Amino acid sequence: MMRWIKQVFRPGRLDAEMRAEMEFHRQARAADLVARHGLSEQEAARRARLEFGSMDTYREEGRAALGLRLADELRGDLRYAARGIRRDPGFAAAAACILALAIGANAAFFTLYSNYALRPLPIRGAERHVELEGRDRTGGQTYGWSPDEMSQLRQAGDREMEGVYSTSGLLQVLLLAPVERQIMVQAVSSNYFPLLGGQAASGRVFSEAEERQPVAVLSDAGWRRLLPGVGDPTGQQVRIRATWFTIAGVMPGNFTGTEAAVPDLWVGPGMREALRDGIGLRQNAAGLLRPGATPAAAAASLTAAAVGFVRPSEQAVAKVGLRARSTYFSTDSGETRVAASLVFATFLLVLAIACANLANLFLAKTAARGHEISMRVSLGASRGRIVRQLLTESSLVAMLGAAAGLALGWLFVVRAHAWLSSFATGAGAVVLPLMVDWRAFVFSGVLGLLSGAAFGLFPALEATEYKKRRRPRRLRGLLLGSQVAASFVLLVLAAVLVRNIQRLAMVNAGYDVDRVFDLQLEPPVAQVLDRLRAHPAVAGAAAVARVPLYGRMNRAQAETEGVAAPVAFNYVDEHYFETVGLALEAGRGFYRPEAENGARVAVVSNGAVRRLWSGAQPLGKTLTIEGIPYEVIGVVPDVINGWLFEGAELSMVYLPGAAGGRYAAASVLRLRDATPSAVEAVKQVCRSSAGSTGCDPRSLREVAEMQRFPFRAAAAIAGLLGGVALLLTAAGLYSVVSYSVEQRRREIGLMMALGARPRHVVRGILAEAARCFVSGVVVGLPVCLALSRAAASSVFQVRTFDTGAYALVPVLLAAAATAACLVPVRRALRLEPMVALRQD
Amino acid sequence: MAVPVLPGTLDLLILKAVSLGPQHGYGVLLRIEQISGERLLIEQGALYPALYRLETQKLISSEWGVSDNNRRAKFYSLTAAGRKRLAEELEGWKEFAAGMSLALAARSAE
Repeated sequence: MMRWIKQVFRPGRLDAEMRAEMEFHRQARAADLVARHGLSEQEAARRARLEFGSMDTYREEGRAALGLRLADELRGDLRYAARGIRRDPGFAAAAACILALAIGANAAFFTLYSNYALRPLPIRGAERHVELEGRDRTGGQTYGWSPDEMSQLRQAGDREMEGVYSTSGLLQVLLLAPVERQIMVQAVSSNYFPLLGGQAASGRVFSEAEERQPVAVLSDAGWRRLLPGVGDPTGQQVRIRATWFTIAGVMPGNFTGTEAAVPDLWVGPGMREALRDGIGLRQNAAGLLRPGATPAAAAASLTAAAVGFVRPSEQAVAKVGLRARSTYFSTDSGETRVAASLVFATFLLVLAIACANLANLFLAKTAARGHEISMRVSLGASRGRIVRQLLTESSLVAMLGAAAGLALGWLFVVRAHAWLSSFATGAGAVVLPLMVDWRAFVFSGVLGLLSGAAFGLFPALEATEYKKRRRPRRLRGLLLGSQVAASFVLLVLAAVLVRNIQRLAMVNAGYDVDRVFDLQLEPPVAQVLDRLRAHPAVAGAAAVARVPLYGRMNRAQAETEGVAAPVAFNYVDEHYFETVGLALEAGRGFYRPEAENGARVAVVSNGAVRRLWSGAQPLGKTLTIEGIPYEVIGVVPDVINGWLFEGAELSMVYLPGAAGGRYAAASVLRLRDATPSAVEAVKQVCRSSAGSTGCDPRSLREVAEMQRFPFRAAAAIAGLLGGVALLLTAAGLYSVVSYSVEQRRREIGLMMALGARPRHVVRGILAEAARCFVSGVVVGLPVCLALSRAAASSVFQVRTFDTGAYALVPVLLAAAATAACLVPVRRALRLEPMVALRQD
Repeated sequence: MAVPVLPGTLDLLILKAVSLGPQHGYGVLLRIEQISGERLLIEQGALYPALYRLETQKLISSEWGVSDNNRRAKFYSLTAAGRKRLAEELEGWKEFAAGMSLALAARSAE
């Protein structure tokens, strides 16, 4: 194989070796002849040459014997193809650019997919890494496990599981010292590190006894971010809220944990109270299967223990399932798979359009080379040989496109990653670096070869087919039809996305997003909020655990008499409802002492009333959340707290909290008028107050904009691709119609000479284009509907069908098609009958 | 008197010659002449395509070395696969030769 490759790219070397070997033979022979037969040197050389025979012939035979003829031919084809590219660089460049766009999109997405769903986790035994999922009787997910349940699970699964660890996932908390910033902390059981092969680079990891001690393990990224320039941070202290954590050790750079973002610190699960990430301190469970153990057996052992857990009946565990998580995102889950395959399908569709277009271009180009090809055939080249040569040409162009595409894709990934990182840094996360690995190379290369074969094969077969002359036109029709279908699908996708963005922009959150601001004050101090409230520009200020519109609110299990349901909850102070603008529909809001003392009272949303009390009056009733009873004192309307596209949080519970208290870590503000000067005034007030930092008011409108960004990006990509597809389709239609006019000049001239009306002529010309167009739309429509159904059933809770989009896109396509046909049709109508007939 | 080798038997001869020790192309030629008692005549150039063919089949391997007269030459030696093939071919040849001799020695059965 190596020799083969060498032969394609460095043919001279092998040839020189062969020549040297034969030369040695002849000279040795000549020397023998001189020594043994006493011939003169000249005579001996002549005899040796004669005896040896034709060196060229034998070298040729030798090459064939080495199996190099194919390589020779390939080299010839490559040279020929390269010469063709040099002769017509415009064509090759256009083809490579089209492919680069399509392959680039594929390579970029593949790189993301490969990094998160294919690349194994950087832990020991990644292939045996599983997550434990509790299911209740109805199959619904139960939330987490208590420390006691964890130890029981560990024991019960010991035969099949090498270890089971508990994890909180990533928690966003505020670090106060040595620097002040948002950081990511993960609470994990002490066996997390030894089980997953993590050894401290310096210091040590925490022990089981230290799971409840203020001891933390620093990640390499955390070291750089939080304690830059500190030689060995072991023994240093960092402060999260009121707690000083001692750094026990630092993990090496290659231990980044099990999440897609690297936490700054790992602490024991017993310290979650100190992090104050709200109620619901249950941990998730995950672990490693023993080598050879089956997930089913492990799940059975774990289930046997879990059904015995003492829990309220609604939360009782009926079954424990194991979900493989050898990568950052489990492809075990249907959602990930459906989402990924939808995106892949879209991108491959783009590639298919590109190939269809290139096939059309190539078809025209090879048709123009009919003379050259028939000459080669008459000189004895076989059909296979010529097809091979044409395929080499298309593949060479395709590989150029694939290389450019890979570069383009990588550029895009770098950009996307930078964007993601800037977002994540705001939230205190370090996003793992993305790698373009061999998989991406192979993927792009294979796509390149496949597309080269795809757009080269049909034209090559057509060009070497002499009997059926009508087929090229039918093939072109087919290609064009599929192009129309593909651009239809893409444009509908873009239009649906744009409509969704418009809808999101019009979604009413339930409060004034322009005048309500996230104060970004760290931490919220009661005195500062009081001073702000006194300012004339400020209509209200309040402390809150989570500012709305930053993603889903935290969830917990709630119970009333007889009903249990998951609810979303938030901690707010006595000014919150007034500040955000939520009018109480019944009862009252919190009083200041209730907020400061964390009284056992709750305000619920309308939706929660419907869900938990079937709409009956809830005031004075008891609501139990995670075992703690609260008295319902008020009802507020349903508003959107989380994702705009998910709509209002239908079961929302507000619990009392206060600035400086346990849970309220953020603050919101409402201005009377959202003018820049008012915002500036607010900044002045908080910066002149001691005790807090930050304060960079950001309107909830801006936060909502960030939510819309992914839709915007998707719409832009789909729109761009759809636009390109539309252009290519129009160009294809134009060339088909022009070709048909060109072919039928005489016929048209005759028709006109015989007095045919322009209408008839036009109808004849447009029949084919119309057929392509109609068949494309007819094929594209069900594809769109099927895609929208698949998407609707899985991931995005957005509207996937839109009448406007489905109505608009065919009109747009028809307009483009008409425009494309206009020029050749006019040319046909301007034909002088006599000129046309006299031709040839 | 020397006779040209039968078509298809050159490969066997080369394997045999190389089995006696690594040799360069010209050495293989001399050795075949020598061990056949100068009875067999080989088209000299034709030796090389045959050598390359055997090398491609991995029956012999080659290496650049220095010849007796201190010149660079490519030396061929037998591989394990070549040794096995040689044994098989020898077996086959013996059968063939015995059959041929018997057939050609037959007389009319009167």
